[in-house]
Amino acid sequence: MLRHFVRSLHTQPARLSSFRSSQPVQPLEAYPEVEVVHNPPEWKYVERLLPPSTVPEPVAKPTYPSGWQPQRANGDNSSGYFVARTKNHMVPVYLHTRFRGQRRLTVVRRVQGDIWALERDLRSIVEQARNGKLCATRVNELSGQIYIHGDYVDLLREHLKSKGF
Amino acid sequence: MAHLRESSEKALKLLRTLPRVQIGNLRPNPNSKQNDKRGRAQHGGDKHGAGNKGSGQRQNFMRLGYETGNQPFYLRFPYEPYYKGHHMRRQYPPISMLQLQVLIDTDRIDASQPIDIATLCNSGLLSLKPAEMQYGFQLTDDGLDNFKAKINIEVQHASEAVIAAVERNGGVIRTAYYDPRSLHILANPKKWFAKGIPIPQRMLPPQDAAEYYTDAKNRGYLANPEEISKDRLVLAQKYGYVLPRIEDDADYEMLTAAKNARQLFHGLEPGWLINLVDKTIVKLKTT
Repeated sequence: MLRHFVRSLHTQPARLSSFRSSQPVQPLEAYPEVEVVHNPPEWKYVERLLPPSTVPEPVAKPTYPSGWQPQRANGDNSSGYFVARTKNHMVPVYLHTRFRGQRRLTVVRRVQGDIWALERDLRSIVEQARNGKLCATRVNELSGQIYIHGDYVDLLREHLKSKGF
Repeated sequence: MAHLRESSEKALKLLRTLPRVQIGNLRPNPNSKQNDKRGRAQHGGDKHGAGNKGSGQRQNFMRLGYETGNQPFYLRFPYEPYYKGHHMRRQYPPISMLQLQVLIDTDRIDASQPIDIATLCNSGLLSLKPAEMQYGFQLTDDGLDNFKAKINIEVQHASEAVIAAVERNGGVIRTAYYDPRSLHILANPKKWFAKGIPIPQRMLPPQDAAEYYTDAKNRGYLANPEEISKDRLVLAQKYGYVLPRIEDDADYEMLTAAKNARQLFHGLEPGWLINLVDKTIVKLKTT
């Protein structure tokens, strides 16, 4: 008796339920009558709730208030290198933090073509931002990645976007 | 010298057939591993590294925090319950306005339809964990000046500046409460439909949340609509913008679309059963 009372107090009956407390199957007459609606007008609301199976291709817009912009450069431009976008259409520049944030590395991924030319360009950009101080970099030619010492994610992302990547 | 060259060639020949030196065919340096067995005999079974006298010899490992008779550190100070009930508090994971604008710019969210938890979770970039006391999203004011979209959004918490930023662009914002079970469904509606269970009713907010969601200043879903429309004007004057008239808007229907306080999904009533395979809806028969 008390148990039933406590259960009726709970606003979330599903949380404390189990197969023991669930109601056994009743005769069919005990259930309300239902109708199966084919081609219901409300199906558009259901379709809206289903997630897309792939990442949608962004439609071109006159302006992008967020600062995001689609890739403009092609793979065969004059600079000799190409930085591909990620599957989410973002510029692949990341921050790697190690030792509780004491070491910060900026990583540029998905580089194709002349990776050394891109490394030279990015290094000059970073050194300009550091008032001419030298900047340590590392290039992984095989995987197409450039590691730059320090947090220059915003700087390099904006630079790559301005070049159309 | 001839035999030396011969033997070095022989060694090289052998080396070519051997596998490369790599992590898979290395073994540890001799004596670099400690023996995990404890000696028992005359010379092996001495002190076993436990020392000579007293507590250490008997390997008396004291319980954690015990200070051999002192009042332990963890009992030395009176209890101050700063975090009392922290595991019961409702959490609202943040989304910034910049993030929302990026989602709209990259077409991960369709701004021409009302936005709610299901829309945000279906974007694939945000997720909600109702089992970890997450009760929905809060919209934060980062990137508020760059927010230009006209949207009809329903979140669980929003500050005054965020409400002003949405309404300045001619949009509508509403804060609404969902109980954990409803949140679990909204976090992945497709999975719920596949279960073949009727859509449940949404619960009303608990007592400590009722005040927030009945306040027109928070654009609460239980607030008086007349008070909300009055407060929209007040906020426009406070922040100094001309409130766009929703009545004259081309998207009037989208902007005014709102759920019932007991409803989980836009346009779908509680009690309905969605069949994704046959594309049918099972409804209660109305006589």
